[in-house]
Amino acid sequence: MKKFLLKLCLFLLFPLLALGWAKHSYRKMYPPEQNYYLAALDKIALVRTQASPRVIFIGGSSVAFGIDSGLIATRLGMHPVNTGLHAGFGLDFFLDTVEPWVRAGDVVVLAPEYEAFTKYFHADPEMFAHFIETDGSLMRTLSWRQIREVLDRGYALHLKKVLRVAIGRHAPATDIPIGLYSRSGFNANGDFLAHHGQPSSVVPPARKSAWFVFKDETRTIAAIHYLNRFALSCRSKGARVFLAHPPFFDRLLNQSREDISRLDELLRRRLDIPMLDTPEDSAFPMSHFYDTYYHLTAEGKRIHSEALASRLQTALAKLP
Amino acid sequence: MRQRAYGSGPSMTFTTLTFLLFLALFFPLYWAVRNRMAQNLLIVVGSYFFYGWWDWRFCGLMLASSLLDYFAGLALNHLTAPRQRQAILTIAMAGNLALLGCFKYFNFFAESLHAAAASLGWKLNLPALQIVLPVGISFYTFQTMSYTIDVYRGKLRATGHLVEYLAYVSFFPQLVAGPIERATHLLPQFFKARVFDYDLAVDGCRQMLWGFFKKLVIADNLAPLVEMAFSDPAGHRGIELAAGTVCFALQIYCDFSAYSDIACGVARLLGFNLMRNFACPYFSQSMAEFWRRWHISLTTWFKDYVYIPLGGGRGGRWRHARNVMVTFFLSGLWHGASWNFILWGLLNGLLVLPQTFSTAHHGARLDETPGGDRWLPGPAVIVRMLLTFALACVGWVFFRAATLADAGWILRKVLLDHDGLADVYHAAEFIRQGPLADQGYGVVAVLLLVEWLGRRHAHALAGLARRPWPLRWVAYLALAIAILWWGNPSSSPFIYFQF
Repeated sequence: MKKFLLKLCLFLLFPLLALGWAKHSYRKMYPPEQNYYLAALDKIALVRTQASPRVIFIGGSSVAFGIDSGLIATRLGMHPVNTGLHAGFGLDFFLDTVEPWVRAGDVVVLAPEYEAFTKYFHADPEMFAHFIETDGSLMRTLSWRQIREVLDRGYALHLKKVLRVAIGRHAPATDIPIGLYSRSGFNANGDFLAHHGQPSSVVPPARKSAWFVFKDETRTIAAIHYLNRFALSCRSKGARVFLAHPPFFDRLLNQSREDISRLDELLRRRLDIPMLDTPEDSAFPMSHFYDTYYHLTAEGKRIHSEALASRLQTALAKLP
Repeated sequence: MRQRAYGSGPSMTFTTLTFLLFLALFFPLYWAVRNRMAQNLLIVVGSYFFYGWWDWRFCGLMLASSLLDYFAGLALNHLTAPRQRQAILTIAMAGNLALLGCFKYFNFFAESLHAAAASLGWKLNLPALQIVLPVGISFYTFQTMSYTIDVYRGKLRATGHLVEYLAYVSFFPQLVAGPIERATHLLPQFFKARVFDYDLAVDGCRQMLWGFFKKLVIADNLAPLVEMAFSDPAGHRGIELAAGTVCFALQIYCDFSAYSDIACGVARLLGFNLMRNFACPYFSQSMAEFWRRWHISLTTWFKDYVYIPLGGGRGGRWRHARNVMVTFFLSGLWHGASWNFILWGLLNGLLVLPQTFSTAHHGARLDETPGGDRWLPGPAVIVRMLLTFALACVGWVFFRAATLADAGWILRKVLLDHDGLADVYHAAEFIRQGPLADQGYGVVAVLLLVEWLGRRHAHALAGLARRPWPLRWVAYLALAIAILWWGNPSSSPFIYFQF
């Protein structure tokens, strides 16, 4: 047995050393303190500490880039909380994070990317593995199911990407260029500002695979049930919940119209959450996007936020 | 039909970090407990934990299925009257088949009845069940059924030792995707004292390493190409669909045989020997031989419990042909509740029939070296192997296609849609879109070479035991590097989990 264990350890030494070197190189290239994803800690703290009444925005990076929560909150006479960060966290992660802290008088606006209703409702486990490795205390914010996903797949995925990044054969593990995307790019409300003043660099996707595709209703229906439970819980505490469409590139909206319309129709039919707008209301020309067709420039953000603020004021006025 | 979800969360498949951690904890604990009975109890606890990791609710189902046959076996031990024994057997079989019928086949039969009734202008109101297919149910119910049948036939006496019996049914290396072990082979091993065997453990690790390579480097990297071709057949050329089919043939072999290799390897670490489940099926020279080398535990199960009781090869050609077709029909049905699988089964039955009646013999026995004994096979052998592979691929189209219409479309396109020499370019471009891109050719070449060189042994790397240690370690490290570099942990669970 001893001989076997010794030889096994000897065999495992090589991959462990390789991975150890890769991790070390990766941390030197991308210091964890400035990690974009660590802004999740700041947003979780904001959710817990921001004074009520609040307007809380939930979604992915389109919410971080595209919503001026301060402007909207001022118009509504509330305090802002922008939890937008990255769709890879999964919509359920921030729903679960926000729900225990919702208070009477709060307004929750769900504005996720369309993919949040299909493949990104649950988190990309590699994202969480990266997250946990950067700060182990974040494990406490994850559900048991999410921890299992990290153990089962996420950590292996993360290590593989770290290895490739260390050898220089892959973009950073999160596929986000580190320079602009950092924790310090957010303001105190959770809005992302670092891209303000930067020119638009997005190009229209050429391949059909880049269009939004809506095939599997089963996952979306499960997501809708989850959202309805969330909304019910918020309402029972005296908060109000709304759904807004994400900002989207107008030409891409036309190319994906059939699929987006089908998704929209399903949401209208089954979601117990009032909708503030239509997909067309949130469509913008290419010049209003920064680097992807979900990330608005400063100007696009201003237009989108003002329109959203007006719709929220109208919707809130109609409520008893 | 309501779509099935496979449980409440991620499963502890062999290629997850969770399983490696589980094994790292289980292995030393198992050998630290020197008492055989305690080891068996640990196997039961560990196996139920392993299964419950996927969905704890179905542990009860597995226990119920196990206990049904346990008590049926005990009853058969005590009863001597033939009618009573038959009644017990019938109850046990009915119970197991009812479980399968409910969880696996109810919606399929309901929908088929709906469709049949509608074609006659009738309207039926049969409910559709929104039901989860418990992982491994097809495997462990067949394993418990074989136990009861063997007790009934007098091949073994039922055991009264519940822990050993539960360990036999739930043994985690082979629980969810086989090999489907016979009680006569596996159960006695739980009654023998196990002593750590260095050579057995090392060979087990070799087999596991090869399994991880096949699954993570080959199967999981071929999966996206296969999905591309089969999810959009109309959007691909004939040659691309042909390439996609070949990729699927390699994917399903590497995926399934990898599971069996890892299962056998893990079992060896614990001092157990599981049956060989794959014996280089793609080196077969006939479809009959292919079916003696592919998923051996299942094909022998159907042979022993369906084909032979029906009469086997006795009673004339028509009866023989009927028995073959019924066996393959049921085998297709076992794989899934869908006409695709049934047609796949029947097609393979038709392909096997000519060789079943033929007196010509082309390496049909399992103990013969697949592809012959020569290092370089002769042209006739190569032609027969390629033809057999092509015939198997025709069947795989039905197995993998989303619908029968898609399968027909794919076969038509593969046969009729050609672009001359430009097909070579199109096929290469198609392959290049996969995660391995052009490196895929080299990786697949390594697979074929290693499998060819190791075809005489129980598994592809077994022959390394006799090689000098530098060569062995170079091979181990090369495979480890390949897994680290090309391994794709993001991909799907093992294909046979869906059965």
